Amino acid sequence: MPAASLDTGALAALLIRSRLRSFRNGLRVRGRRTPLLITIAGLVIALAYVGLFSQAFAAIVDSVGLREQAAALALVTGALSFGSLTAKAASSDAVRAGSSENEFLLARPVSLATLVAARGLADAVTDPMGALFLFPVLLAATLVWRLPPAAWLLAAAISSAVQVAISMLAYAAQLCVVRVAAPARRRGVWMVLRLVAALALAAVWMIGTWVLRAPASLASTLTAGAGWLNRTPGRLIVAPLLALVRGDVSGALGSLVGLWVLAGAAMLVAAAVARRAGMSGWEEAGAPWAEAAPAPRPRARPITAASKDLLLITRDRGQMLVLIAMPAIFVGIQIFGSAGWTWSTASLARISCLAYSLALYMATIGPLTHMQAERRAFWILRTVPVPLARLFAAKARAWSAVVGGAAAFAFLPLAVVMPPAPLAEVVVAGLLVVVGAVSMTFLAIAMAAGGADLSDEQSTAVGPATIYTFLVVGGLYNLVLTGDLRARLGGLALYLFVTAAHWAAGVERAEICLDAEALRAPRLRTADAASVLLIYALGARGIATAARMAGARTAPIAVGMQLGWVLLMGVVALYSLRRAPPLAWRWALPRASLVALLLGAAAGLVGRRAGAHAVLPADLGSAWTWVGAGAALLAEEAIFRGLVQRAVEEDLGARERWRARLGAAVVTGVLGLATLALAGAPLTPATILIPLAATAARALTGRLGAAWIARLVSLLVCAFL
Amino acid sequence: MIETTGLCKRFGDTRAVEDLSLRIEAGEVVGFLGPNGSGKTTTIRLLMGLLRPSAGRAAILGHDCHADAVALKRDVGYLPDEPFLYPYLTGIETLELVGGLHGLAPAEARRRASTTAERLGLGAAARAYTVTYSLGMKKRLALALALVHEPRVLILDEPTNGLDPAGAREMRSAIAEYAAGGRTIFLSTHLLDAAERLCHRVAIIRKGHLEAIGTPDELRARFAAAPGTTLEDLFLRVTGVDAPTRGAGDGR
Repeated sequence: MPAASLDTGALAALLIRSRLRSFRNGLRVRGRRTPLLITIAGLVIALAYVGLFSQAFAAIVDSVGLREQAAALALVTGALSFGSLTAKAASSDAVRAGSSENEFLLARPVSLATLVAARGLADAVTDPMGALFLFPVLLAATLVWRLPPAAWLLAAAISSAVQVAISMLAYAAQLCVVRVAAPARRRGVWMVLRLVAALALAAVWMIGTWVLRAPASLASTLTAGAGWLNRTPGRLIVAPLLALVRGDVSGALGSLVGLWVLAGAAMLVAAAVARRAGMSGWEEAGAPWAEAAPAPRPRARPITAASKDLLLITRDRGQMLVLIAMPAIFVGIQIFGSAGWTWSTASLARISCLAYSLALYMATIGPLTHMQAERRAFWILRTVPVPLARLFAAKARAWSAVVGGAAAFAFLPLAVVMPPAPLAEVVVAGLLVVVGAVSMTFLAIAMAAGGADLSDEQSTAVGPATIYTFLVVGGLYNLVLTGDLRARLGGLALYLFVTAAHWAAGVERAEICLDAEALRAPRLRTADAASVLLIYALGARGIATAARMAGARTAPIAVGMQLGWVLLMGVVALYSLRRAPPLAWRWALPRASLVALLLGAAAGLVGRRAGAHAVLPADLGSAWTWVGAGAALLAEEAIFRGLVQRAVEEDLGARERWRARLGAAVVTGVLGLATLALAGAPLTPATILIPLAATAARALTGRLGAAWIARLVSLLVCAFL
Repeated sequence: MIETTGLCKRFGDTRAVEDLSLRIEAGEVVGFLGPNGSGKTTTIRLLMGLLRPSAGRAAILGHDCHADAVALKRDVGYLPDEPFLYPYLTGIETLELVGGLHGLAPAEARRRASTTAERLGLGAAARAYTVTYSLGMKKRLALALALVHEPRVLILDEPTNGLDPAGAREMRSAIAEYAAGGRTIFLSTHLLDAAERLCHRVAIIRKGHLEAIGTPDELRARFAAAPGTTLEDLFLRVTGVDAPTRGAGDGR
């Protein structure tokens, strides 16, 4: 007897159970660390949004009436919902026949209409981040309106209803595309949908920044537009909470039921569209565009490793659209949404940052994803007699032309419209922008190779940690663009070191990226140390710059922030050192201490004679000052002599040991100077010699403790002898 | 020509390949047989320098497979089990790319790409995007990629896996043709009759250990099998999976 067809509820329940079980099994196999970190990060971000929006919404509530407040909330929730709807409709992954889940499910006695409806319901349960996408904004509103905690449940229920409706309408839109658009035109339709989604998300960002930056200005604008906004679908989202504000509990529940009825109607629409679509057009929905496209013309010259990536991206036009449109949208948001045109183009430094940001986003979308593009065909590059370093260099050169060219293309018109500046300064700034863009391209290629794990088919080649680290490291280059000559030189030296270290690490890692065992072997890499050092140095510079701008009144706060920063990064350095193998050659503690003491004393004496004020705390009489200075020194030593010098030594260790020690000491010494230059600290014999003494102590003895002793002794000698 | 000494590869607690020592001479065609999960693909990836050995050494043409992997690849062609390709390059473009990466001048890379594609029967499909290829076409193109630089050694991982009977026969003919040209070929396969016809010797691996290596007749003699015993029966006996017993077990 044939099995009966599943209904929507039963299929949704099956999907929910199998997804939850798959998630649980994934946790068992892969561990809980990454999901836990993602959850914590998600909660922290959501809480931050709640805080920020509460503050802005409170300003709106203080300045306008309830009608305008409702309009403001309708504007934000409506924009978020529209952005989510267009993004889902453009994703095209969920319903395409080519997806493995669809192929699996449609081979069972399940109709397309049932599948579409069941999946929407299952998503509401198994994707809490998606289902609660409106929750932070609605929660902030309940807090500002001082509604009881039960309103939080109402907010969650509203968000879930809206998400179900959005999922259903997105599926219906996708099915319409598959059913109506001819295969050859379908790719163009998806591209248009993606562009609309990108613009919708840009609008969300701009409205969000408008609300957060100038809530009072938004409130005054809303006075005129409230009538119109209260007739948009966003008003339906706000209605239950608004009824609660008026004390109308039954009205709130009625509005919520209305929202769920609308979600149900959306489900019926999607099911009807699916039923109407049948399987016509559906079976070829997942077919690659190339099947409908004519074969390309033979090229005049064979493609090379350098031109391959660019050719692939020009043929994959969806990706090309993202590469061009997204950076332009991001920068557009920065200019028109966050900061405004006048502010953004007011100086050479600011237009440099703008042009560089465009290049950085492009590098993130383009070359940083190159290992994802290689993913399954990487075996081809690993079986040709060309070193990976040369292949990656070819890729980086090809991408540099695109990313560096985009930076120059953005900088030139901005340089024309900004207030006049000396030509030489404009040229130097333009060169720094292009050099930054090019070095970020190399760094993107290197970091993607360094983070790639192609041994596991289930994981993405370039994970979020790699992307965020790249954005942090790349974003900090803005500080180099805005500094004086000394800071620029110091910053460039640091960036050179970071790029070289990541390059070496990326090439090395790509050699083993198919080898699960080799990838999981813990090791200390210069690249990791370089990232920690760069983040420390540029963070310290940022704090110092902020303190200078704030003036002398905030000096104690600035000192506290500097201390907190160096202690935090010192802990990070010590934590990173757990991956270092045990040192085979360390001097005995008494001998190492004696040498450190002598080196520290010598450096202290020389430093004192040359003027020790630059290395001494301002208030020598306070015990707390000494505790803070001592802790800061220990943390700084953990970063420089503990992490950086040790990591460089390990990477150079393949050569003779004394060469590795000497090389690491020289590199650490130069990096110390570059950090001082970048931070704007005085470069005196004392500030130069004392860290060098610590470096020498560490190089000679192999002990971080020796560096600590040398540094503390030199400080004491400077202060008291 | 190909030599491994005490080769080991572990993934955590799993010993994928354990103390594998074998030697393959120039011009030999050696079949590498073993049940699923026995370590065939891991061994081949170790030979290609795609994995780092946990212990031991592998060398091809005197080049260490790990330390000297770049030099080694000049004279080695490799066909993986699942040949994924760049989706939006055509077959010819992929061949030209790989030819160029092997150091061929553009004109020579173009000529070799055309002739290799023609010899392997890619036909008009060579001008189409590889994303449109069937598995059989992908395998043909992957074999063409392994041959485009005319290597002295071919390492083929399940070359007929997933092909229909006609495709498998064409693949076998192509391999036989290249073997007749004096190339050294190391291939893993599940098609035992094809291995018997194509290979001078076969090596049988089980749970990462090399159980036996020799000509089919040598193996029959070593395991005291009757002269007419097929390689399949011999394989099942060596790997400890006796067909009649298994059948009886299944029936219970």
